[in-house]
Amino acid sequence: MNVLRDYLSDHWLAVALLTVGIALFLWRRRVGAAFVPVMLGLGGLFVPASWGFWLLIGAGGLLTLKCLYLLFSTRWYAGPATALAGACLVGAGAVAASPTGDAITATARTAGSFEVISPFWLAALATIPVVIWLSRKSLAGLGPVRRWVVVGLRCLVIALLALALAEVRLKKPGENTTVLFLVDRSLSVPSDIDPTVGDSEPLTKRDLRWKRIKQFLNDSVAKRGPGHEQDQSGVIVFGRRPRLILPPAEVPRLNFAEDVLAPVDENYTDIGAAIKLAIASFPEGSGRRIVLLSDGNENLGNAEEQARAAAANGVQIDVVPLAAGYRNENEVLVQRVEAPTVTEQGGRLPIRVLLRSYNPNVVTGELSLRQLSEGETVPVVVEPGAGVVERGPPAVVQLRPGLNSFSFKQSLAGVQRGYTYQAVFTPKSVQGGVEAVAGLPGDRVQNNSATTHVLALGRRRVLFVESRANSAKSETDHRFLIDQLQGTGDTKFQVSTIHSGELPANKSELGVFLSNYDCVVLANVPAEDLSTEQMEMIRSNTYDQGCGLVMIGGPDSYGAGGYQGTAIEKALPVDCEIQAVKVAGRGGLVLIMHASEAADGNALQKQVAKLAIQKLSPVDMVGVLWYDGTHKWNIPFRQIGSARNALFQLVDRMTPGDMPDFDPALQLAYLELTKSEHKLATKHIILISDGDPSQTNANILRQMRTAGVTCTTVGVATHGAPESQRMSSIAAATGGRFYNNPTPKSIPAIYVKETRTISQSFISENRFAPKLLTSSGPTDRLQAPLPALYGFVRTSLKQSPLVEMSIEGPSTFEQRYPILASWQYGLGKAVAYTSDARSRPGRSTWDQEWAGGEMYKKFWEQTIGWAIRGVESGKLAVSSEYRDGKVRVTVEARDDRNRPLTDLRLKGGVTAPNAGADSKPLELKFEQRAGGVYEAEFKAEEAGSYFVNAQAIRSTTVMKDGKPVTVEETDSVRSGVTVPYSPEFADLESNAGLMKKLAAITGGDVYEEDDKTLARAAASGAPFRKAKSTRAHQPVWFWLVLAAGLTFLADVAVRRIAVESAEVREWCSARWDALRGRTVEKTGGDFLERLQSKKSDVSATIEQARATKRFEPTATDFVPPPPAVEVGPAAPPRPVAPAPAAESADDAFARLMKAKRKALDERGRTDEPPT
Amino acid sequence: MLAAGCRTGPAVEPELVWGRRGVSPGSFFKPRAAVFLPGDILYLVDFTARIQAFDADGRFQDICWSTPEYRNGRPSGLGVTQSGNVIVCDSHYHTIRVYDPGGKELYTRGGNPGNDPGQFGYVSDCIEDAEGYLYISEFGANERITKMDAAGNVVATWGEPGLGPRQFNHIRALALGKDGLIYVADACNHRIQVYDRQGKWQADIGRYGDEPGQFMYPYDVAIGPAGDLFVVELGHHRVQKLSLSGQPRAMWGGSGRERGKLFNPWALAVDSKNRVHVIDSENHRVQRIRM
Repeated sequence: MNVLRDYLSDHWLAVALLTVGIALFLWRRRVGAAFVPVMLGLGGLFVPASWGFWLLIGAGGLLTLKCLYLLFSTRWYAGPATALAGACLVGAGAVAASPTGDAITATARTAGSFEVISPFWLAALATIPVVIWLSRKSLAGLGPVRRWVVVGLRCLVIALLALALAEVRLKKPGENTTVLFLVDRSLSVPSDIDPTVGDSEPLTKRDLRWKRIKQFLNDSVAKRGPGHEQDQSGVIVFGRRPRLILPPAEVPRLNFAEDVLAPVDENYTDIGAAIKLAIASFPEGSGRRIVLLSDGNENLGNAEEQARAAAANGVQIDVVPLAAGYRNENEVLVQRVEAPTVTEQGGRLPIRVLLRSYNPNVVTGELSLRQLSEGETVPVVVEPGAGVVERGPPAVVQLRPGLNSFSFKQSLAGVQRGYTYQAVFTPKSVQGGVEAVAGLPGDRVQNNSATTHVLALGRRRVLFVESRANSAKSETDHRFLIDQLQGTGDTKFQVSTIHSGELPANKSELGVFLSNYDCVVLANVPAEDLSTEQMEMIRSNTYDQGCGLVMIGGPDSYGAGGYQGTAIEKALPVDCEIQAVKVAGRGGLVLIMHASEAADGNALQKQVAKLAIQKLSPVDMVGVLWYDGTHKWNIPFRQIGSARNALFQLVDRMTPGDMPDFDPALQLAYLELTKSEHKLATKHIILISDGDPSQTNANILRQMRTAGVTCTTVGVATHGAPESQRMSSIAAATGGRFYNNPTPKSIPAIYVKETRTISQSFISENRFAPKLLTSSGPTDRLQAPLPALYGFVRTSLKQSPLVEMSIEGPSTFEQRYPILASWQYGLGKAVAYTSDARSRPGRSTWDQEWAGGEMYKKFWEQTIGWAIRGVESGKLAVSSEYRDGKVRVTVEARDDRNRPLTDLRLKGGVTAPNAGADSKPLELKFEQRAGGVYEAEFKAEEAGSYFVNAQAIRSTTVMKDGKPVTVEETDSVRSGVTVPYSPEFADLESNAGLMKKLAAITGGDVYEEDDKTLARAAASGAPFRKAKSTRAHQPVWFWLVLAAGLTFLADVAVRRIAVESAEVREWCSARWDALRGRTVEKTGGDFLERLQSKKSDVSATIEQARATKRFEPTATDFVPPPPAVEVGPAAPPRPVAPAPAAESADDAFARLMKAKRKALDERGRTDEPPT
Repeated sequence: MLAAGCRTGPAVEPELVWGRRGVSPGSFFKPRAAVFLPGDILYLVDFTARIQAFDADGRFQDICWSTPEYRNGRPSGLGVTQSGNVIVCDSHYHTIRVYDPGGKELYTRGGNPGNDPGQFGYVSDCIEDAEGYLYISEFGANERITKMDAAGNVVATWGEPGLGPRQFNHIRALALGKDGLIYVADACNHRIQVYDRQGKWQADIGRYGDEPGQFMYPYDVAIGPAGDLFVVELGHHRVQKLSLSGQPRAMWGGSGRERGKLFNPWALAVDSKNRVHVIDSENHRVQRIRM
């Protein structure tokens, strides 16, 4: 039955033709009518295509011969000719019926898969009935058949145009399959070390698992089998983030090996992100499959959710669970270091280190605990107890299976400060039965250490940061101010001075370091002294941790210090950008960019170019030169003005080419910078290159030097001493600086340093009288007028209601410039003072009239006193704990009599390890769980140190002057919690369950990770098996417009050209007779007669049609006109037109003459024109 | 084809345009040097440091390898030895690497940066003559050509940086003429210098300019089987055909992305049928023309 059904479904067209033929025969009772369809149908049904082909060729050839014979002999035998024609038709049916049927089926299927993009245009189809109605009226003269054909064509034109405007698209089914291999490179995938390969070889050569993966990928693509040549394949490797290292392409071989691997952060696994990237990377219109190779241990994202998205997108996920069933029995990890979160002065700090061993035997190793603080490292000695073999340090301990705890005690130094404690365990041997085995082969070092932080509570300590470049260790720029603040007797603060370069570079270390202070003062520190991470930590230290931030001005601060767009600028109440000001001199900068062959070199070039443009003021001029076949301006030399963003976009579009030589670029830059109309006070060039281009023209360097054009060169990945030498000599010849192969991380600082000094408009160095606007907070009890200042850095006040400007500088009509501004920033307070504080006896700078004056000490004490962190009374106790990816913060609040405080409002801030100024802050929402116990929780997905701050506000009503007044008391408490290592290292076994689930969700297959299964799967082409097809959307509007045009032509043709079937028949008959050599009878007369009769028929039809519409008065309708009324003398009788004379019809002249005479008669004139 | 005298070259259709941008085998990203091995197999090196082989019609020969290390920069010159091996100028590693046609490294020359003979700066090109001497060009502080015997001993060096006669400014490529002379693309002096194999200067061809026979950054030179000199210019994005005495014969190309136009072409190679294969570097393709 199925066979018959299949046969009929393949040959449906032949069956249809046969049926039509039989139906025609039965209807018309003529063999001729049914001949063609029946023969075609018979051929299609019963004759194989190969036979049909030869039958068609043979019968067709004979028929052609017969026709030729007819030409020469005029003889024709109807019977054989009919037989041959029949044979031809049978052959054609055999050859074409089946493919034509398939084509019709495919077209019909395709027709059902159109997609309409702008469906509202389909409303134009509503005009079709109107067109039919109008056309029926106007086309009445065409006769019924042609009229309906024309109406149909017009409707078709409208329909086609409407479909074209509606943007109909064809959904084309894809026939190929694209396979993306997703390879997990995270550290949780255990290695399968080949013992036969030496330890000196890289891991990729020793790891059998990696080899297996590589082999599987390469074999799968190479052996995908015939019919799959056009299938595409690609590879994504992933850890914390996925990277598409081999984009999907139609390649015969993948050549997947170590050298194509891109670096990924191996400390995390985000399977979901990899699947998401894969879904986005598939080409349109092909079947799509992911082959995921992972251990299934995800610690970021949600793979299941993405698998469901994949299933919804028709993407199947085949999985290879790596190391399924594996369990690491040699793992030892430092689970936690426990210590009080805040220090208590004078006590001994109890510390506990928890280690977990998964080894069934006793593991012996060294355990060391170190206390780190402000660059000092002190070892801590273990307390005697269970498992302690030697106290050390380092201690030798024995670990039993499960959790092992070791206690330490540390006497604290006199000065209270924050500490970091780091515990490290180094396994030495395992007691397996009797014999000891050295080391632990499966143990991962990453989880063998953990840290914790112990923070110091506020003691009104101030950290005063100065620039290393501006001050020697012994003699600081701000010594006088620091001495005043530290002054004996009534001083409120403990001030510590540090150079910017001494701040810990590591973000979490800086966090612990800053926790020792309640206010950070940045005094004339340029932006390049601080890394992005340090700036972010200082910002967060104010926003989240509530520490005060004061920036003191000077020539290297604010805009002049390059703080535009930095995290610290975010924390300040002023912006470092200023509007254009009319100042005497302005700076000109030309950046020369040369393609870098270093990894991500071009991205770095764009970054530094933007950074440079950002640090200039609006009055300055900038130009960027690059090589794009010729040396040309990417940004033509121009004033920055308000077009900074447009300039950034130009930089984004730049792809610097390989400049053959520097000379033309230097020449262009020199010519622009020295144009007199620019009136540039500083002229500077920064050239970044690998040193490849030539620089041969010494003359240009001399000219630059003479004209004061300096050129700083930055050599990136230069190829050796000669290249570096060339770059260096350009700088030396022009008075610029040379930076030799700086690390990519340090290049931005170079650009900040090189650019910020170009601008002349940030600094104002004229004496002025500062205006005191308010006398509160920092300016409390200050008296106007304030002493004069001799300079300040121009800034713009932030547009925020929280910002208050207390002292104002000399304003121009364009802008007001703050001297002192302050605001509440998150949980902390920040102050910006834009003049300097460098004056001291014997040295006069901008604040020479302030220094040593009456208000000086008061002003600075009040300023720092306002900004400094609120009270940390110690009444709040905080504990924080990391568990299951979350940190729970508990604050316990009690009053002096140890009663719980239940009426507090708690605000919290968290400084996360890797967050930037623009990332979403972690929310800390406290809820009261029990009397005086408040809890909050946040997600801590990343390893590193989290600093938590809780600020409690209590409103109490007190009676003041007999009136109730609400008073707010604030208190705060801080804590630090450390996620010691990525969750990646806490996983001890593979999660094959998740992998299988992903396959089940998407209907994919599971391949076990063993050589045989993988080889079989690769050889069978299983990953490339036919996948659920997706459809590509192909626009067809142009075909529709073409069809509409042709249909319109057809419409015109049908209306203008009338083809008479009789005429055609007549002509054919005449030709046939001529061929047969018969005498042709004159039939033209008959034909004309027929034509005439046809014409009269049509006329009659038209007349009849008109008659039905035209108004024809009937006898009954006729009403005689009313009788005429005499109104005057009777009108002269109208001359009666003479009867047409018997003159010849073409005697026009005579007619004209007659008409003229008639006209003259009517006017009563008698003069005859001469004739 | 064009009669000399046209500025930008006629709109002559290339015979064949092929190449696909990508990092998979058979595709390339910014190819920068090319050479034909016997049998008209074209070897290309691209910006991903992969050396790949194609036939003259652009069919990938399933040969693809990389230099051992390329973080500092990728090779930018290719040559062929008399025995049919591939010379790869590992420009940023001051090394010449010789591979068999399948990509197996046979031996290396140089490797040490410096100014002394046998030390190199940026190695830009290398050719081998019939007697087995290698001629290695470099630029940077050393604008010179080093002649080395088959054992790797330095036989001679010549050249110094400068804009004057017999000085070099960015030697980009070398070609050995049928006349036994060496044609040197002195790119930033916008000329071709001709030397004999002992380093004696013979002639200069061309100078800076737009006209036929003039150059703007000639980046590669090649000698066709008929003994013509072909020069590709980075600055004008075009190819010129000249006689060995420097008489311009034809010109083709122009800046653009469309077929028949070039964008920063770095190299060219001529096959045994005298067809020119232009490495249209920043269009990531190869265009084949007859000039």
